[in-house]
Amino acid sequence: MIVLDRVAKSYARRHDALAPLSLEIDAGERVVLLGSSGSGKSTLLKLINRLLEPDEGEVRLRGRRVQDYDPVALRRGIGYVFQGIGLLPHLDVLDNVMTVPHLRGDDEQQARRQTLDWLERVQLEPGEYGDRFPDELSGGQQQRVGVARALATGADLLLMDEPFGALDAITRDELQAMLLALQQELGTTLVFVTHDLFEAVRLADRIVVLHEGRIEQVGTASDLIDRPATPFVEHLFDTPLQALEQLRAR
Amino acid sequence: MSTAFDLLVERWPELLEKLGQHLLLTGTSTTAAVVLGLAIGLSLRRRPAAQGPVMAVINALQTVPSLALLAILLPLFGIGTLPALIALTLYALLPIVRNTLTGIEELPAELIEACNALGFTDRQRLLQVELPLALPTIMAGIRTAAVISVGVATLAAFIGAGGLGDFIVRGLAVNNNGLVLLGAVPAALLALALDRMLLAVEARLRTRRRRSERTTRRRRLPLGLAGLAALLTVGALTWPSIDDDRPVVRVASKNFTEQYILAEIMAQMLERHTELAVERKLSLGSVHVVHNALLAGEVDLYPEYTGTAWRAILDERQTLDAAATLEQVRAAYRDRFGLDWLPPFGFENTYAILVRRELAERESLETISALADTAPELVIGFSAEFHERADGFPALRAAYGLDFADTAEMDLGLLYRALREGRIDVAAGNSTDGRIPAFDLVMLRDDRGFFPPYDAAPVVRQAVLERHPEVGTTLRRLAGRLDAETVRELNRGVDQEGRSASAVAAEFLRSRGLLDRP
Repeated sequence: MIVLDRVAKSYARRHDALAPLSLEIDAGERVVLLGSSGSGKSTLLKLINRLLEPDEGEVRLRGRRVQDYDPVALRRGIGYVFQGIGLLPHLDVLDNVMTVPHLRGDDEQQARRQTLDWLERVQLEPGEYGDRFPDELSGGQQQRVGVARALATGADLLLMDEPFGALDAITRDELQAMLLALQQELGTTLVFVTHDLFEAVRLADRIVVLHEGRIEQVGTASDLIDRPATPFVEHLFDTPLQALEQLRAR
Repeated sequence: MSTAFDLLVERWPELLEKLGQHLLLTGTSTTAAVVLGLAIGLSLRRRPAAQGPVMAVINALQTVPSLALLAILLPLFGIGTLPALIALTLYALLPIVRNTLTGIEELPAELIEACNALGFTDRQRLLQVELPLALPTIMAGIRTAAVISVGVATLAAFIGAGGLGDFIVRGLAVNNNGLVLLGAVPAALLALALDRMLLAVEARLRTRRRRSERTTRRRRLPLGLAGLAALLTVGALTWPSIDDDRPVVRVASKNFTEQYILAEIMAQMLERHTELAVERKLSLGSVHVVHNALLAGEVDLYPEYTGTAWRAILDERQTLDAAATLEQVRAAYRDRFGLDWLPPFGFENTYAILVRRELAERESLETISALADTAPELVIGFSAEFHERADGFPALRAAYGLDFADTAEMDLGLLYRALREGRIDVAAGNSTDGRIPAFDLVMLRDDRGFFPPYDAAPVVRQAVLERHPEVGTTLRRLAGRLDAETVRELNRGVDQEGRSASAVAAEFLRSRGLLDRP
């Protein structure tokens, strides 16, 4: 599905750079990019839909270099969920979810029917929430709209940039469950960025641990826990696991 | 109160006309500024390198005082509506460009990135996200621009563009507060009304509306715009239009009472005795403004004084007698400017160095040279023009060795009152002003012959005299018909009795049988 082939990105001032790295993501796979801020995980995500261009190497999507896609068409075919204010504040929920169908000039009636359906799927009652504006929704509801908007593109690839980072633990748990259920139902390829270890473990088929612009290790949660490739990965899992064991021992 | 009401009733048609002109000036310039300002603002979007220099230029434009801006445009675009519109548009530009730019630049970078990630094209992002979200800021800029325009448009009167400023300029010139208010109050109301109306348009334009409210929005937006359109239409309809095909002769005047009266006298004579359509371009700022307008062919004739031409236009230093001055001025105007001096009206309006009678008697002042001793304790007031002219204050001070405690520059119309009320001690006024006897002021004799003779006469473009000889014939009938006493009376009719210059002129012409066919 996605191939990152020795891509590197550097910034003049920011340290959020990427050393040359390679990664392959299969269709239908759930891949979590895990790392602290500055590790390069958001940069990596943005290379996929050409919000950023790599300095070296190339990114291939469905076997084709992303540079060969028209950037606008490329992005309209990828669902994207943002951490912060991804929703357009002057549009109500329905119009926000229909953003990409509107941009593409899809059939209005059909887009609307599908939108109502997507709102149901993210557990927002269309009659109650359809004409609300983003600032009339809770943070969790806003992210549900964000997920619905990404799915309403009809894309088979979903990029999510710390979407649940600002939510409380209970809401985050609900949304993770919802996302997992939807992904399994739809078979969407998911690339999910987070700094939260537990979120990564819960959502990922494979976790990519990033540190200072390098891939420390790629593997399933149990790979990383049982066979850490680097001291960084070992330390990353060690501290919370020890804390958990201490709790359990009590 | 009743006089204010009378004034309103009496001037109602004129008020509508001026209001119409004002609306058209304001509306046209604000519209132009909106189009231009949005274009500039949007083209600077996300181009930080270009923003600095462009904003610096626009800011600099705004810091030029509005009158100065009009003066700068004068040699380029002449007098009248065009330079006024240009000046108003330039003024209105800053708030619109600045607010367009800040409105859009202030949007969070994350929002712009989100739009890009969703696959907005640049144009879609601008039209569907950036403009709607920046709308309140942009509209605030447009409202500021409109209000500024209404205010600055009152100054357009100085260059003959009409509008409510005409009342203010004339009211100041003829010492009539009612007239000033007749211009100022509607201008203020107009500014408020425009602001409210634009606010209403903004509310209709707001994209953020619930589905349930959207149908009404579509109906109301045209309503708000219709209100604005109606205002502009009123402006357009009341715009003075010369809708006949007759050739036009344009009569000008400077902005003080006597000039209005003389211009009216000439205009009414031409209306009565020729087939020409007469257009009035009254209350132009100064001799230089009118002179340039004549040279540019924007106006055809106006009353001027030989001494003014001699000193201020021809820059001659020596003082000749009245006949020689007229002869020299006439010859020079013909040769150099293609302008002709018709026979004088029959009176002189020289600069009058005036003091209150009480001061004249206490200090036994009869001549200007007698002022030299007491001058260090006195304040002298004069018009801005007198300060700058070759026959003005600096030369007078040098000629008589006068060293005043202070000087005060003010509008000619306010000068006499200031002198009577003791705010100033000496004033440089006009010898034919009706307020000299009315306020019991004493005119000091020019014992050193500093001032040249100032015989009043019509100055006409030679081209007009050749094309329409009847203009010369008609105006020659006025030769010698006005003596200083008569002119003072006419001036008093306007300055003290508050009558209009046209009424005073008409009465004079009737009483002298000048309206009869020759």
